Amino acid sequence: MNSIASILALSVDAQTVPAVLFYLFAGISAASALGVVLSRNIVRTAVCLLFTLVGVAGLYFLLESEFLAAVQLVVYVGGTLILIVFGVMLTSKSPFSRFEPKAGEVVVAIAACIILFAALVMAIRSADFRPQTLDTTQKYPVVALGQALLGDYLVPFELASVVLLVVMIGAAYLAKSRKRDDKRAVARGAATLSQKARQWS
Amino acid sequence: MSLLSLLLPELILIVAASGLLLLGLSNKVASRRLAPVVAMLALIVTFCIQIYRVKAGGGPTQHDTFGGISRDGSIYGTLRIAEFAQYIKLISLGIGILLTLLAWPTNDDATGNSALHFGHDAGEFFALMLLSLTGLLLVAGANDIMLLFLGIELASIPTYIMVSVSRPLPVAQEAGVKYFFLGAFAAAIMLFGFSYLYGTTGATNLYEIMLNLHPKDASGIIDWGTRITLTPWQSLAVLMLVAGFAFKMAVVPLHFYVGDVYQGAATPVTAFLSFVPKASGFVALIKLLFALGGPNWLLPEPIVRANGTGLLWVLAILTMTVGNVLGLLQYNVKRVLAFSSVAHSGYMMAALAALATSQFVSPASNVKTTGLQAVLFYLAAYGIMNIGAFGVLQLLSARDGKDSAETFEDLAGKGRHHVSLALSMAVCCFSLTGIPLTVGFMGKLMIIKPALAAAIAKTPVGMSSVRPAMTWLVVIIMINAAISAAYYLRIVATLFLRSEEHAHPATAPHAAPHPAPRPHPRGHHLADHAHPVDPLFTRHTMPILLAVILSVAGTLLFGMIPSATELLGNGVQSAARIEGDIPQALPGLSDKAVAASK
Amino acid sequence: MIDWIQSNIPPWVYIAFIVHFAILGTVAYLILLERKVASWTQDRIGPNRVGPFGLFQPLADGLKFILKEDYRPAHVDKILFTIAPAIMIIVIIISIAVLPWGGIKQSTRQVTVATQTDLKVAAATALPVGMNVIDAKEVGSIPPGTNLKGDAVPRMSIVDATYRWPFQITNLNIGVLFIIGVLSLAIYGVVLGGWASNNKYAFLGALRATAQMISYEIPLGLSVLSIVVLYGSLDLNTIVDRQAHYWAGFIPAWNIFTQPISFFMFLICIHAEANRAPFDLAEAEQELVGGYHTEYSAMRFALFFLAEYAGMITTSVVCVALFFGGWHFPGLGGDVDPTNPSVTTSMSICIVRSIVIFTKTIGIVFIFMWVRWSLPRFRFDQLMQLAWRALIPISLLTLLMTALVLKFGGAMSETYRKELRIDGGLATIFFLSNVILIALVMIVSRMIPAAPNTNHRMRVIGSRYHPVPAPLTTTN
Repeated sequence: MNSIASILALSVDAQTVPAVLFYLFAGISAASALGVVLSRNIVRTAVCLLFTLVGVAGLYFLLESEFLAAVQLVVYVGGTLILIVFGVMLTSKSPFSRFEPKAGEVVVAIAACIILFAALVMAIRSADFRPQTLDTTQKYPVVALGQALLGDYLVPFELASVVLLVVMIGAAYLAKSRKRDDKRAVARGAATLSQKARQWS
Repeated sequence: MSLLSLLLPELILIVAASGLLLLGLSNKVASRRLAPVVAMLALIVTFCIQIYRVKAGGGPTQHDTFGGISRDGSIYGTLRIAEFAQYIKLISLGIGILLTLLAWPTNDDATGNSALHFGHDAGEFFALMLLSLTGLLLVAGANDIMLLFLGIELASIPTYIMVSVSRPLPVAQEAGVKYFFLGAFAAAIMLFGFSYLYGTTGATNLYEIMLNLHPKDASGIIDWGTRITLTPWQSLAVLMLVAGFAFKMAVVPLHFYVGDVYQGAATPVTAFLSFVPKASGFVALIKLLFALGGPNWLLPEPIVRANGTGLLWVLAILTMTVGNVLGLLQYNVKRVLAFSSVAHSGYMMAALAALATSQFVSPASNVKTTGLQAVLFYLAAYGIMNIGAFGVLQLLSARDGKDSAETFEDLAGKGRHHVSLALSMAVCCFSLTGIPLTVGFMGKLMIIKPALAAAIAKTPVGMSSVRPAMTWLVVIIMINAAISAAYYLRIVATLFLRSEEHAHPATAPHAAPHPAPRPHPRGHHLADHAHPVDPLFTRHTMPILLAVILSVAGTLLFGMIPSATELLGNGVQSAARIEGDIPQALPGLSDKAVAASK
Repeated sequence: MIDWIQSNIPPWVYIAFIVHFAILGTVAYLILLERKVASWTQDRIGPNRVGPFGLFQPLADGLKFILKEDYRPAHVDKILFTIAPAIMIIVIIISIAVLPWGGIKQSTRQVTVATQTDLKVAAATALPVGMNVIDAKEVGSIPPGTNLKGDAVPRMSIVDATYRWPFQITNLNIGVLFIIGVLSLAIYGVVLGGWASNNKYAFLGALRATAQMISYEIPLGLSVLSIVVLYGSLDLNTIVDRQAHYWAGFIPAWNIFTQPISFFMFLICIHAEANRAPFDLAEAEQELVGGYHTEYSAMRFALFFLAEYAGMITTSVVCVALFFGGWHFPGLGGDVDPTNPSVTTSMSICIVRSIVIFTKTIGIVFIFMWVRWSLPRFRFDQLMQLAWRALIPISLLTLLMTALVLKFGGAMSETYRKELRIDGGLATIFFLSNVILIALVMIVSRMIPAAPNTNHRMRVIGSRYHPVPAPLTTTN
């Protein structure tokens, strides 16, 4: 074990440290994932999601895939989630907006969760994981990853960029079309305050 | 074949789409007029390439060229363009051309046409259209679950945008938002399924997945003759994948979005929705089933049970019935066509359900090949005939003269003024019903063939009979065809038999929020009688008219002329030889598989 | 006791203690330095009351923070209000873990282990966790026998184990990425602090900070990438090691000479990430009172303050490691392997290296302060334009240029192909390409149409831009 695991290693047996860390990170993820679902305050939900993602990144560190962990931090925590928080803070009407699900919705949601959970538990109990042996002797797995992305998996890799392009253009396009509608509304004679003001300036 | 030439159609489309996006920066009318031309040129070029390839690929024994990039020179590439993929690409590009015609911006400032209004964004709109088609082409060629997923998403994401920008109306925005959220949810489920599939097989490559799922003997030869048993984990993965695909195909438990979304979108976009995402879902499902069943289509337990029922059977019956019954209850023609789209998915599922039983009947009945052929034929047939219906709907202007026709009231009596259009609609409706001399009839025939064959085939010794299940399937297809006849004929009847005077808004409680069936000024129908406002052949209607003509011609041609039907049939036949691509035991393959398992 | 410590407590534990105390202690004095730099810039004397030359000022400041009332306004989101500063400081402390201080230390120790075929593996078990054993020689043995209890003891070998360990807290092979990833979490401290305060100025500050940090993370990552591409490694130690040689015998082979554009990009971006002037829109006093930490006081505020300065140190260390050769300084090369100059057997060299890198870091931090007291603040639209219309395209171009030069120039350079080091010739090509690139950018930027003016005056009723007088509000 190296890296993170060794930070806490000290004189403890090398086997127990990863186990303790695993339960720590898994616990953080699971508890804050529950928080995501149970919290009624939308910003707190986002914060719980932050800890879930950080916990998962910690699990990746434990599995010695530091690159994946760092990418998880950069992409999900530092990028995606912050945009979610941004959006949530900008769109929620009051800064303390809350979810108020009805009792019926709660019951349905709980039932669906229980069914899914039972199915997943049953499925995972029967799982025959095919362990993939990783070449840990390789000093820079990042190089192998890069070669795979631009070699064997070139087409999916490039396709992913096309999909992202579409998503980006789509988002910009939708935002723009909203504006266009506003202009149409203006044209229909709904003179706005700013328009009146423009006549004066 | 190098990667470049392998991906030539997709690359052309992506380059054209990028060009269109740049063109979209300009705000001039001329550039908006140019946009559909560019898209059309790209599609025609790729269509010609595809025709050439299908012709060159010709003979049944001719194998595909394996993925341009592959590990160790084996067939493990992420892409694999076989005859199956070539066929799917051909029909998607052909139908893509018709769909582009439907969306042609024909009004004076080129901001849309009678049904569509995308404003100043012609470039973006057609770029999204091309990208969505590219996604479908890539799904057809995908041999890797990552590529498969990305392809499905590339086919779907542009449609979410197209729905919400196709009309500057709240109802379209609502439809877009609904479609987007539900689509994202379905994609998440699908991805969950894919991740389990990867976890259980240790491979992302569909062929590796297939090899890893099937047992090997001591010398590493894969045993294709045994039906595999899925663990609960694997079953869950398969269920999630089928659920994800079901959303794209609009198959019953996940069909609920169809009505609102198809109605909210502009008519050309609705036509697009009823083909591209559906086709991508079916292609992906066929690929998944092939990976599970192996070349002999020995599909495992939850998908098909020993008595012939199973997941596919249930889905097929539910989808057909629910789609048709709901179609019967609608007041809005677009909603009718939406639920008819659900029902048609059900017919295709029925063919797959019959295909799944091929392992329980004697090989002489030929269920295996006819089943897949039926799906592939029906996909093309549905695409062709459906476009005609939507095109006519688009041409018959609504009563308030602003938008295309949507409700039955809008259509009432239109057949008297536009006889040719109404006749075209009648042809398409007959074809959708499955009345002889149309391509729809040929399609239904092909759908029933495998089920019937399985129902009457001899059961090999030691197997339970699939006869009851398949008999019921045939009967239910028949009943459904009868139900669907009711609402298709209602469309035709409304066109010809109802008079406009009887139309009253009050009779349309379920009419769309827009166009609001507002009482029109007196004398409107007089103007309509003279119809100086909408003559049939104008610059404004030409492209759409062309699409309708092509669609009706295709419907009749493939339905009436035996040689044309045979042509399509032959194409389907060679495309359906999906299992022919993989030899029963590849020494190189099995060695690798053994090495992987060690 | 000493023996037990030696064999069980790995050296990074001490390093961790020293580094944390050093950085957090330095932070206090950086605040003094900041005030001194401000006064020099403004032709004042600066703090000089507490102790000689005001040297005890930080202690007084610290005492003040601790003794002040820890006030929490009403209607704040209590949990988030509390964890926001904590997130900020935790993130900075985590990122300290992978900073490279003194290259790689090689040591030799005699250990006694049960005899195995692979003595290296056996020796590793007797050493603290994380030691990379490169050699293990058997120098003696103890024959098998029984111990006092009578249990059988196998044959033991006395082994001279030579092992290497990085002179830093931990060495990740993705060091740079880790730092970028972890520092990107710091934004949550700002956002949550601003949001939880239930104050519109704090909230606006948080929103500004978010937009700014997201935008500047992209050119930051891209400019780091152009260094990573050079050496094919994300490991800070390796990056420093590859810079530890000379061109023409005397010019240090630092990346500031090969990638000057990337250096300036990086410098600008770390300024923006630190939310300091001229990028301090998130806490602009004139507009937002105090920005996201308006409502914070006492130690909670001090944590934000500490985090800002500690973050400056962390990013500056990374900057030094990427562009200024890290610990590299004449006379500090390794004594083990000429192709691997970071390895040394001398502990004192390691310590001197740490001092060198720290001094260089303070130099960069000085630039931070210099800039802060010299340049006026950006307007928000200028800020966004700088990122999206200048830094991101230019850093992409730099990346492309780096790849092209390596593809064509790297193939010609013998040194580069063999040890991935930039030799003098390649460095010249890089420098010239940088010059050409910047000239090209300056020419092309004239031709690109100007960005639409987004700095509209809002005609809010009652504001001075609103031509009609505000309607009289009726009180009810």
